[in-house]
Amino acid sequence: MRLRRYGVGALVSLSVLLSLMACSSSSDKPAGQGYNAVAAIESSHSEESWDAIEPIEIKDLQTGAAAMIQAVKDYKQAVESEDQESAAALAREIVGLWKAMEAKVKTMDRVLHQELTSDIVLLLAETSTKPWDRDRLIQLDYKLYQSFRDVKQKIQHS
Amino acid sequence: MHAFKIRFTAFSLLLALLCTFIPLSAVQAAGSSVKVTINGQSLSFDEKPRMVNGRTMVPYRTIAEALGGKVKYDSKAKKATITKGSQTVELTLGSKTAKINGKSASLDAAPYNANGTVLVPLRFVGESLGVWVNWNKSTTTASLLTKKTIKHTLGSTTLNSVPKRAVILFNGGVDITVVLGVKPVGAVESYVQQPFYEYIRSSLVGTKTLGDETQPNLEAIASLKPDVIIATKVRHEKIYSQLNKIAPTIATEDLADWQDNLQVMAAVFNKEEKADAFMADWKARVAEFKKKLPAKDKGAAISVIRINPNGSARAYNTGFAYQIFQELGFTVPKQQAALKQELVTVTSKEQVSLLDGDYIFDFTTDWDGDGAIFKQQKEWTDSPLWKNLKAVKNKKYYKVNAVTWNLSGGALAAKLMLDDLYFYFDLE
Repeated sequence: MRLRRYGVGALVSLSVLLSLMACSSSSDKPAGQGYNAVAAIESSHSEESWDAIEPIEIKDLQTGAAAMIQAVKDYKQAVESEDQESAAALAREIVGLWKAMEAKVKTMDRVLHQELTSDIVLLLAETSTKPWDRDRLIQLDYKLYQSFRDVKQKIQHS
Repeated sequence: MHAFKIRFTAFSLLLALLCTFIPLSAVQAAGSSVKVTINGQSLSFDEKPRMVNGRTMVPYRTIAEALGGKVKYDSKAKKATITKGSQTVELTLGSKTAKINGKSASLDAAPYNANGTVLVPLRFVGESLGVWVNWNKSTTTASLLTKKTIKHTLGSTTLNSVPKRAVILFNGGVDITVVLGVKPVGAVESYVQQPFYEYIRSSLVGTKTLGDETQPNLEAIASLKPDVIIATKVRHEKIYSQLNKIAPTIATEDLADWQDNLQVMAAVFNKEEKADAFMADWKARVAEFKKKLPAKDKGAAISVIRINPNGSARAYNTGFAYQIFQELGFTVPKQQAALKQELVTVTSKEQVSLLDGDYIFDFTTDWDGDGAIFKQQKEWTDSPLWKNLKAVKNKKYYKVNAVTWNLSGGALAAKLMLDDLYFYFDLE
């Protein structure tokens, strides 16, 4: 069980590192300052949380994308009202939805999949970081909002 | 007997009603009278054009020959081949796929034979024969033009056929070509995310880049042998005459007025139907947004800003995002309006209150891709005076997508920006 957890954690860490290397600032979605990838990776709390979150059952990718967009919007409101409990629950929901969707998103667009995985890992990690960097959380969330809008469009055109 | 009479009368009335409706709908299905004009002159037909299932179907041979084309028909293959100038069009009865110079084109409806005459959808006539087609619903008249003169801010330009090799010299126009389904042979490259903004890049595969909006490469433009150039006044007035020597050039009035730019380009490319559909959708979205916006946010003062590479800050009382906020019923912060300046430049932190509003949206751009601008942005947002701004204290300061909120200026960008506002104003 421990080996499996470390294996998954290593995979997550590797994908975050690779994503951060691949993602240039050519994406004009407001990522703002560079991320502290090492801090995100070394947050064992986030690794455990990620691993512990089960995929949420979704009817299909379209429904999943719609649910995700809603969760992302609700997350913003939770952060703005400083409701840390709701924000944490929504971050977990976002991870759960992502786990249900990611295989199909990967076949549609590998680059988008990579970006989304990286961003969601960061969102989960930073939601549990104290004190909150509220602006950063909103920016990450906005980036997710735009990305899942892209996912929704790709589904419609596929 | 009396009961029988009542039943018979009722039945007769019912039959009469049915007889009234059925022939009426049959007439509608067979087509209300449709008129066709070419350059204002009415065309007469042996087999009349008609409306079929809401589509305008027109006799292809008569129109093609009136436009100087030659038509051959293979009755075995049920295939018509039309040649007009360098254009060869092939269509097959019953098939929604035609070919124009060997390239597939899809039809709204399949051509069919009516008493020996091939009828095709009206839109296809325009596409295949390079003529502008306008459908007037109220007069049921299809007006075809073999030439079009477009009056624009820098003069008047005549086009002798619907352009096929367009060069687009401003980013908003590039976005609009994607909306209209017109792939340019050349276009200016984007300010960031070169060669073209990510959100439209996949639609521009094969389009050559021509320098940037402020300094397009004239040689590169000429080498593409375009048949139309779409420019914009503020950027290209000084080189207009040079552009016009390369190809007929049409200049739009306002770089940021995406709605006008969409209409101008739709008129050039015979895509008015697509533009109308886009605008109908836009207006519906704007109406929906305004309806959903809570009372507390109606008329809110919106400050649209960015930090400049030289470290100053700028508030916009003009431009793309500003126009959209105006359309949505938002207002300009009073202290900015009082200055009566389109661009308010703030050089000192002591003047930071000029940037305030109920909401502040910041589309600071990483021009060089090195993140340095964000350090300058941080200097502003770390200052105590900034933290005292109403929008900041109320947590209504947001960093937004510079491409779709400012750098592009196109119709798709407008749609994305509006969608962003659902996120920022917490609307369903």
